[in-house]
Amino acid sequence: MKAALVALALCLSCSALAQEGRYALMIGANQGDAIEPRLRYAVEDARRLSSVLTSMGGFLPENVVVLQEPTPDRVRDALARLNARLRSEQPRTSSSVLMVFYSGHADALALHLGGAHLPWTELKNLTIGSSAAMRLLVIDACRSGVATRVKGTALEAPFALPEASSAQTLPEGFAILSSATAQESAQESDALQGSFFTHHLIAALRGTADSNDDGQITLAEAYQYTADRTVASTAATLGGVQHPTYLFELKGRSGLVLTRPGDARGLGALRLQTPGQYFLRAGGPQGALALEANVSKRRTVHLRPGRYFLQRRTPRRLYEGEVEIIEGKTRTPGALAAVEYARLVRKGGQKLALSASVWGGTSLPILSGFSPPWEVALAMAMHLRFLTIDARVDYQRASLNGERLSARLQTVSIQAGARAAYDLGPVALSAGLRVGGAWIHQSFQTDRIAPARSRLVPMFLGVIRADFSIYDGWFLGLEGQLGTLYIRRSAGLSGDQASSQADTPLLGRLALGVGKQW
Amino acid sequence: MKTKYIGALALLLLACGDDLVDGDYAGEPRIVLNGQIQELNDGDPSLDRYLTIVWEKASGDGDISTPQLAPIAGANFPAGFTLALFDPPQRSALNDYGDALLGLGYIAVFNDSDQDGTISMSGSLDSDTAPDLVEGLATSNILLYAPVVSPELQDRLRGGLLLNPEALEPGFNLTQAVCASAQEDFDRLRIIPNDAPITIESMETVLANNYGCLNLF
Repeated sequence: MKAALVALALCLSCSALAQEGRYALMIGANQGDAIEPRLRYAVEDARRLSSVLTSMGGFLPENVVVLQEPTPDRVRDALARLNARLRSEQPRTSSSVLMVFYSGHADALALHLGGAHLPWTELKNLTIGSSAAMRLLVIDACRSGVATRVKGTALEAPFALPEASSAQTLPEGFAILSSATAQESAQESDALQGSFFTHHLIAALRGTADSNDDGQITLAEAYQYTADRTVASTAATLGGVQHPTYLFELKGRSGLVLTRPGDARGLGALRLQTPGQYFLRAGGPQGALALEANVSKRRTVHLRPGRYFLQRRTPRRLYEGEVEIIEGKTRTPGALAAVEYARLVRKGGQKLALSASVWGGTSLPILSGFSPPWEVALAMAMHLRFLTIDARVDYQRASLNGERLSARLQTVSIQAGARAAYDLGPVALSAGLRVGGAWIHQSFQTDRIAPARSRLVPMFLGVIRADFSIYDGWFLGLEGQLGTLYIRRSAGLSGDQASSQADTPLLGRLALGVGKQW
Repeated sequence: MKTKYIGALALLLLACGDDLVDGDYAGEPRIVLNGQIQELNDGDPSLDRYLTIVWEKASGDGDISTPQLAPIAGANFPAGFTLALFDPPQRSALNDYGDALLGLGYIAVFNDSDQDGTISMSGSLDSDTAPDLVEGLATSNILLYAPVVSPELQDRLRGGLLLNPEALEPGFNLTQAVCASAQEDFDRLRIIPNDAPITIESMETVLANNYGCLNLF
């Protein structure tokens, strides 16, 4: 009995949105005026948002009209037809929702639709003048704040609307959400494969905005999350920070529920339990971005079933792994592999990583008769996305034991250079070049006359290296160097009868090292 | 402007410091003797011949040669030679005058009959008995070695062996033989620059000339 009542309640709630009579006009226009650059994602924004509305927003597919690159007259006609359907299909006393969404070029006066203009006031009046009980206008365009008349203000504290409940009465009135103030530009992101505002709005509607964890996303929750993320993600862009704005004129007892992700059919759920910034790509690491969400506490998001490549970013690390979304089931991400420091920089997750390491090894003797020297070195590196710049100080010592004379050869060298690194599983391979200088000192132990000799020489080296990650930024390294240096040698008898010869001996080194990245 | 700094740094790196030496470095020679071998005695051409310094002991303990040799290659003379001496003569090769030590060395070419890498003599330089035979000798030059040059040593040599004892320096000193005048009983030596050329003649010639001006004692 109890189970049946629960099932009945679920059934009632899952169809509650549909019973409200929800209609939407989604407009996407990549092409604005002739002098304006063609947008890349405006049409796709409209299509993706319409998909969310039909899958979890209670909008029936036949009630959602998607216009791609329309003329102003097409927009007027489509809106008029929708309003006509509303009047005929929805009694005035019923709960009905009209949502109009636009993504494209605009200025302070009008939408720019393929060279023609549709004035803001006209769009606003057509929307607000609808017979729907609840009218929602969402605009993702430059200067869209003119629709809300909000100019250049910082984000206000979250406003409070009554909690939505399963036995709600739909509020009446209208609301306008805009992606930017009247003075700001609205931007697209190649990394997000969409405009910032619409991308975050879609993520919000999928479940990341469910601040009270009640399984439904209200207008207030959706706006708050979208505005927060849009400000955060546009703060460092060339176009400058973007501040979404709103205008609400509502009355009623509860807020407007936009989606119920938990009740959506044909979708699966992913429970994000650990705070961080999440990216989900369909199919694999190079797949289309399905979701980007900033989660500060536990959230459940809803996605189409399939395999996804999941990344969770923290300030110092990137965690990666795969997750399978199954229809009707809730999954949690399994164990994720950590990507740290230099690898994180190369993946674009961090601008810079540093490392320090100590090395020990041997090399080919640069003067005949001397033993292969042993060496120790201290190295520092700065890891950028496409290059690693490093510097190194080496100390080498070799010896010679002759019948009447012993000698010691000491070398202190300083090298600097750059390497390009490639991550292959647990190993980071890199190759590059270094230049430097060495101070070479020869001293002799003999009862003959043999004064010490010193020389400063230039050196040029190619480097190949493999770094193996151990734990928490520690790594083991294996490095080989091949190059030469310029020396002058005394040939023949010494003293006045010696001749000076230039030489560029082969310099070959092999070293093992251990270091730490941060 | 930057190019000038880089160029200056490159020049500094290329030009700054001493020449380095390989493993065959034997140290700095204390003296390098250069000269020409006019001819040598006909000896067994299959045997090795070397240039060496034979230190004469006035006490008659037997001549002592230095272990440092310069091989003489080929049989075509006159031929140039170079002998670098890295070590001082052993103490037993020097004449001990009580208050001073002085080495007196003949510059000789010998035939290493016993193949031991050193001159093995019995008797004098002109001995014709085995094992090793002297085939050539510098009759115009003697090599002196003084570990320390003291006023006492200079006084001892003044009016005797050396014409210019004040030119004597610690270490090796090349001298030129000066034939005795009619009033003198023995030939004498004059210190000359160490890089002066030396002439070596065959022992046959040396004996025919009665050792030239090397009658020092």
